[in-house]
Parts: sequence; C-alpha cells; structure tokens
Amino acid sequence: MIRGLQSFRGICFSLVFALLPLIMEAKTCCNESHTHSLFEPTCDLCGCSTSAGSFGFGSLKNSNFVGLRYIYQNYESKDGIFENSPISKEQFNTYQIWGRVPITEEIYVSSIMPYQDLYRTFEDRVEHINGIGDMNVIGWYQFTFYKKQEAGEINFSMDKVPSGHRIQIGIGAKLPTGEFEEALTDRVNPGFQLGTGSLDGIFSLNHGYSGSKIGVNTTTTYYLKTANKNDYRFGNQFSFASNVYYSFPKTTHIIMPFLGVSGDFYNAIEQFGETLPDTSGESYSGAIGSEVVFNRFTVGANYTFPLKQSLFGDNVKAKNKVSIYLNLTL
Amino acid sequence: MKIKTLACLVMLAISIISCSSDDSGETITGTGTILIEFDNAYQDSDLLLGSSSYNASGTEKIKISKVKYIISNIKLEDEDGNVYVVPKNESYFIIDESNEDSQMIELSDVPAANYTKITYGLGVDQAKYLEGANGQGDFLIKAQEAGMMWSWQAGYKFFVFEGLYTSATTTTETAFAYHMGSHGSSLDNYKEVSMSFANTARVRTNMSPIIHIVADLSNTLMGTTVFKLDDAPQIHVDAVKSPQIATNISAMFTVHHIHN
Repeated sequence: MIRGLQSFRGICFSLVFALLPLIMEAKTCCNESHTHSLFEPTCDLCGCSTSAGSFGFGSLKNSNFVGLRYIYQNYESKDGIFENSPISKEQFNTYQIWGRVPITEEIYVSSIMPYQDLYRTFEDRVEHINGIGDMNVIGWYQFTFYKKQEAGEINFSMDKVPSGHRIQIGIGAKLPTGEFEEALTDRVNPGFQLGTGSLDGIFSLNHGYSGSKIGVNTTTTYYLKTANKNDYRFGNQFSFASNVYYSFPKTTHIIMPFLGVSGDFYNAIEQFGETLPDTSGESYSGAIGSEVVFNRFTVGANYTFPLKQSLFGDNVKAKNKVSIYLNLTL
Repeated sequence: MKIKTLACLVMLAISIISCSSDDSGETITGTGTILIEFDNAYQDSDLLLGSSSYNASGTEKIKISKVKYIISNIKLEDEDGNVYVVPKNESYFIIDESNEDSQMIELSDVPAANYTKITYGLGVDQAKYLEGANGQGDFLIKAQEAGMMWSWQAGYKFFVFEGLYTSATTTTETAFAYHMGSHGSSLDNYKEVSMSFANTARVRTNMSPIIHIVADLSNTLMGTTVFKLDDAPQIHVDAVKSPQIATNISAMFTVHHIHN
C-alpha cells in the first residue's frame, strides 16, 4: 500500500500540513500540560505532568518494553506577586512504571503510571506532597516503510526489508488518577500538584529513523485538556522533542549516546471558562544522554537543561531535569 | 482492517474530548463572603516598612515607616449590572501596612453572584462626617486610635504616609510626612475609586473569592502631580496640595487578580 520514497514524501508533506493548524493553535494558547506538567512548569504544570513530556513515551530504539523510570525536576517560582517576592524552590521526584506492549504488528499500547514525591521549599518551611500521579495510556498505529532490498534492522514483515523509517500515530488519554487540590493553585506555580484532576486527550505523531549507526526520533504531541471538578482547566499544550543517537556496538552491549531538543507551548489556564492571566508560556530545552543495551535490558540516562523559557509571566523558572530508566525488552 | 482500527481510535478520541461539564445554567441563590485584600507596593516591589530604600522623584530616596488609609462605601457590581451596596455603617475600614489583619477586608452576607466590578471611597465622605460625632459609631474611636484624625473640627486623615528621605541636597536622613483629609467641611478630598475585574469573583454560599488589590504607594509622590520632598517634606492641611495628593493616591489601586 505504502511503498517507495515518493509515497513516503507525500505522506510527510500531508502530515506536516495536517499538523500546522495544531502547531499554530498551540502557540496562541496552551499552557498546561498534563503529562508534562511535571516537567513543564507551566503547565499544569508540573505536577501533573507526571508523565512523559519532553522525556518521551519510549526508548531510543523502537522496541516493546516494560521498565522503571525516575525523573528529577527542579523549578523556582515566586512566592508572591512582586518583584521582590521570595523565591521558592520546587523539587519533583517522579517514579514511573512505563511500558509499551504490542497488540498486533502495527498496533501497540504505551502507558506511564507515575508516583509523585514533590517538595516545595520556602524561606521558612517546606511543603511536601506525594502520591499517585496522573497515568496515561496511548494506543499507537505504526506505519513501517520498506525498501526493495538491503537490510535495515528489525524485519517486521516476511519478505519486505524495512527502510528504517517509521511513523507512529498515537491517540490516548491522561486519566485523573492523581489528586488535585484547588487550594494549591493560589500559589504562583499551579503545577505543584499530584495531578490535574482532569481527563485529557493526547494526540501524538512520531517519526523514527534507525540506520545501522545513526537514528533520529521526533515526537510531536498535542494535549487537549478538560476542566476538572473544580472548574479549573489547564491550558492545552503542544510539545515536540527530537533526539539523534549514534550506536557503538561492543561485544557484550551497545552504547547509544544521544542529543536532543524539545519545546513545550502552553495555553493559558481557564477557570469557570475565564482565562487566568500569566498562566501561558513556552520553553525550549536541550538534552544529552545515553542508553546502554545488554541483551534484553536497556539502561538509559537523560539530562535536560533549559535553553529559553517564558512561563507563567516569568514567575516560574524551569531548571535542570534528570531521568534514568531501566527497561526490559519484550 | 487497518482503517477500521484507525476509525475506532478516532471515535475513542472524540468521545474523550467531548466530555466536558456544562453548568452555565445554574441558578445562584443565597449569600456568601467576599474578601478584599489590600496589598501595598512600591512600584513593582512589595512595600516593606523601615529598612527598604525606594526611589522617589529626582535624586530622592525614601524609607517608609507608616502607610495608612481609609477605605469606605464599598459597592460590588455583578455581571448583570446589579449593584450590592455594603451597609453604610459597616463600610469604613482603616488599612494599615503595619497591621496585617487590617489589609484583608471581609464582607459577609453578600448576595451570591458573579461580581465584575468594585467601587469604593478613599477617605470619609462629607455625608458621613456631617452626621456628627455620634453618627460615626465605633469608627470614630478606631480612627482616633489609629492616628487617623486631626481633631473632630479638622476631621479625619484619609491618608498617612511617613518616613525618612535623602536627596542630592539633603544628605542626612530627614523626616517626611504627608497627611491628607477633607479639612472639616471646608475642603472635600474624598475620592471614589472604581475598577473592573479581568475574572469574575464568584460569591456562593460555599465559595469566598478574594479580590486582590495592589496599591502602588509610589503614586503619592510621583502621580499626576510630582512632589519633591526637598520642596515640601511635610504636608498636612494644604488647600492646594491636599487635593493633588488625593488625586495621586486615588490612582494607585489596581486589581491584580481575583482568586476564586
């Protein structure tokens, strides 16, 4: 059905056009994220986000797995509305069970189940909340592209040889499994939450290329957020992330260092259908890390640092983020 | 087969997206509480008494030791244009930077509604003053205790702003004091302030919104009229300058946000 470079190009173009309106809308509007929020201050920020965000829904290689991931994030926000208001420091520890399970050759499901352990340090006290965060479940449909001959890597089909290019379309949901406390939203960083309390839609489009040495993964995701029971609606969010990796095969393992960039765009938060001021924003980050594959085990580490950001009227600053994970390939 | 699967996913997505609450048809009844917070600032900074040095006009720098003002006659307007007037006898308040409790006005028995606008007075209106000492109720005592009266004849001080200043020509710290009021009934410096909200303040029997108002005290010296402390470090009763101060400070308020 789909074969050859020409039709591949055609598909790329149509996807870009299909995505454009999403991207533009995201620029004008969104802000919170859920999934990300944990990571992205702006969003629902943080807390919620729990999930994936700039760290992605899977590992470098396009494999099926179950694993454990730990994410550490650091933010600074103003505890007050003035220039000289004191700064509070937020530290988010998120422990996730994550995985990607095949259903058919083309269809698979990914899920992230987070546990949040969040600290906010003020000049005179520390606030601590912990508990289950918002889990997400995404169903994916994968298009694999083939070439006439020559080996790429994993051969999914009987006769055809993969070109190394794949496109995945994912549709899923972020579930309100984490607690949302409205009292906390009076603070400048409304993302200091276990969850957003809302059921949100996740729409994702990925492109992956894996050659014999070099691979590239690009993910674009749109988060459509709904109002929670407190009538608090985090802004819709658009995120992209792209990683380039290089494989160094050794006798017992493969080392795959990678470099990445990502961006998150958040719409303003709404409450009772009204837009709240200073709750939109955007941020761009760089990432560096590596995965090491031993047989069926993959160990990964990712260090993410802010490049440019403007979140919550500049009242929230994202600092560095670290994630480490251990996956078992299925 | 593939198309069917995709179609299923799309339907699932649509069904998720279409979940949203629609409670716009609610009927609002009963009464609730609303809080009005007066947060004193100097330009973009939180105003701190005593130690902090702030830029005033020209080379002048000030340290502020006292900020007090009278807020009165509060009215709230809802999104349909209905106005709730706080009973006059319960509608006089002294905001004092040195007393945190005074900075949060709590109004109870406010009809439940979505409020979009607040109007209040800065100072004491002539009608109230002309009710005589007996007509003032408890407020007369409160004002006396807070140092917000000159004498019954001269009347209330609507605004007290004191501290120390230095400038290029005044190099040792020198006291300044700006006191503004109506001067009995001979000069009426009472001002009305009216502000709309960016978000509605939703008073319900179980919801007490906060109207967070910022008062930028830098307006006192650098408002419509610019005052140099070197020219006039003390202004008390002044037929020309008092109305100018009243105009300056009536413009110092902004609604920073509504917290529902």
